[in-house]
Amino acid sequence: MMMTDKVLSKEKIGEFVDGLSGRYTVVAPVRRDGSPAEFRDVTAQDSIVIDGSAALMPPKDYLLPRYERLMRVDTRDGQVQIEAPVPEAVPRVMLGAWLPDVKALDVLDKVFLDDKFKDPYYAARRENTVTVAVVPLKPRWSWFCTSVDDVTEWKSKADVLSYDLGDAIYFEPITERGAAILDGAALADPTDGQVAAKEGVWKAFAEVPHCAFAGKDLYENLCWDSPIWDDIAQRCVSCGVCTYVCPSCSCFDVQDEVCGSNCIERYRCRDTCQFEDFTLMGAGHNPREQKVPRARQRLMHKFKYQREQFGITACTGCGRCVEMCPVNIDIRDALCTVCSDRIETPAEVK
Amino acid sequence: MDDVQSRIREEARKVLESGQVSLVLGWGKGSTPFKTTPVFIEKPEDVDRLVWNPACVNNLSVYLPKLTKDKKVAVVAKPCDIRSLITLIQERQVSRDNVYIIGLGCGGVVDVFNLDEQDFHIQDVTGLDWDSGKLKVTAGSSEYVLDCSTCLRDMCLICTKRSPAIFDVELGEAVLPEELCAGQSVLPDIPEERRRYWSEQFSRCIRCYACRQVCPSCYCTTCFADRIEPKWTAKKATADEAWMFHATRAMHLAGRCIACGECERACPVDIPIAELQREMNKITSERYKYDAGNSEQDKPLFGQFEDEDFDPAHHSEK
Repeated sequence: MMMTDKVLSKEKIGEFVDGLSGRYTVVAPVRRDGSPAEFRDVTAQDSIVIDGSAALMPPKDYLLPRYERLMRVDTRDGQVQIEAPVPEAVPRVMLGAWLPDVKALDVLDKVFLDDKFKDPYYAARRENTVTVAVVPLKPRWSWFCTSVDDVTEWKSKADVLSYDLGDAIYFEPITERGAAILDGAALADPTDGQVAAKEGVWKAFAEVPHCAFAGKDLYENLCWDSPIWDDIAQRCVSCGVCTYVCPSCSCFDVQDEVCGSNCIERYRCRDTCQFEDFTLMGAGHNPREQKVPRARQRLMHKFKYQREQFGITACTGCGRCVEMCPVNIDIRDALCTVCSDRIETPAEVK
Repeated sequence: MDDVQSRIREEARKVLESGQVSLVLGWGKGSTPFKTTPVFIEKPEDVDRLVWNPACVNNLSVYLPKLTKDKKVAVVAKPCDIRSLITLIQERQVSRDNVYIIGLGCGGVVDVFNLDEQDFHIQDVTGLDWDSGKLKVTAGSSEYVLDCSTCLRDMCLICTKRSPAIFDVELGEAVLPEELCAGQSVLPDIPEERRRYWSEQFSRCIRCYACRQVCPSCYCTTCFADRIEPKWTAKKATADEAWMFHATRAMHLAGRCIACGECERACPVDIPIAELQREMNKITSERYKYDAGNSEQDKPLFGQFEDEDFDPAHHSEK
């Protein structure tokens, strides 16, 4: 298949979506007044925003739904019937996900596509989703992607990379199945000017100034007894915003519930290390009852434990937790503090 | 603003040095110039960390029940934060003797999402200040003067209670908006449409409980929503379950919500939660002549009974 770059005038987004709709379910962020756009199944008529310009909720709902039935047990008429849903194999195109969000799927893949414990539901959705990552015209104020990783390597994580050129979207296919969605009359070949413009957009993204912790070894610097946990815990109000809006947080709970007479359902739903009852054991013991260990868990999990487990950093710098924390706990500040405290550590100690 | 800010610091230094309080709770510099973060000051030499500007959004009363349990705390508070504190004092969650109130006159605080939609880039903002009923934003090398209606929080646009109801020291000046935007309800009149409206809103709820966690009046040790037995609402984030959570919370806050709007501000998916509470407040105000947070001497709404009280059992609505 030809891997040719394409350009879509923003006026023709509807037409492009229409063209895809026959073959795929199209999901994209839908704009809403004054609040973050949300990924939904869309049609050409929706006010979708695929240029990355709006604040948006992460796309993980489409791979790891907020509520997902795993099993239903029915005992009507004395018969025990057990139903488990078949993994959903709907071909999807996901438009308008920020590049750091698509990189975050890499983190989710480590958890759910592990050789030993492959999650069939996640796997089916992941295999059937064509990801189109977007690099917006202007990086958001809260982004710190360049401080956590070499973003050049992220280009390979999407099926199609797209760039906002202001009046048009520039598509660059990365994989064959990505190239397969780039057909139809709505798309045009890029001009030399547009090729140069998309390089400019990439540069603006890749050159977001580094935070002071960038390049420092967070893995080495984050320590169990750092004073920053106390500082965070003092201000934290123990809501779940930072983790629920995070594109790479994956924790879930499994619950059994009565649904009607003679019937129960088992489902999974979001859960977060920031809730007090997250680690509450059946017998009453709770190892993370206090806020200090919960504050520690979130950062250590992202920058230390997942690195030990999977060799990755589980934060992609999308900045949602920075923007949405109601008490302005800024993960960047915490990481800077950690590094400035420990930076003087003599080399031989490391 | 600078003047009030330095007086806040002076006052904080005074009460810490004299040993009158062991901690001052206020707002400190945030991670960006358009945000602030709660600070907990224990040493007089740290009082310069305290700030006062239109980004001081947090209702700090949420921290007081725990903080004041075993010590006296000074709190820097806006009029709405003080109204929350009054309900906490009424409900015996905070002892008046254990809190020293540095009460501020207020000109309203900003909504960051609105600030993000102005002519300047939000990342260029270096300062925010009030300026005779308007908001002055310094961004890059320019200054922008914005109408409050374009950048303040919705709650501030309808707020008339801009002076502290109780205080130990009062600083700053209350500035009423030039034009008060009436609190217009966005709710449809027809019940079925209303139901559809809320279903749509609640379908977005991700059950992060930020609304509850930032609410000073939500201080239950175990929230009904977290109970396993009996299980009032399931953990799954579906519109029905979210409905159960928000509706029950609204009932629990009847006569107790002072309309600070923190729930709405904290909501990451912009559910107009405060709207539910506004409706509830309208009812308690019309039927029981009761507005939460007016006076620490008032008994709480549910702690009093008069023979002539409105009785829903005898006044069924059509």
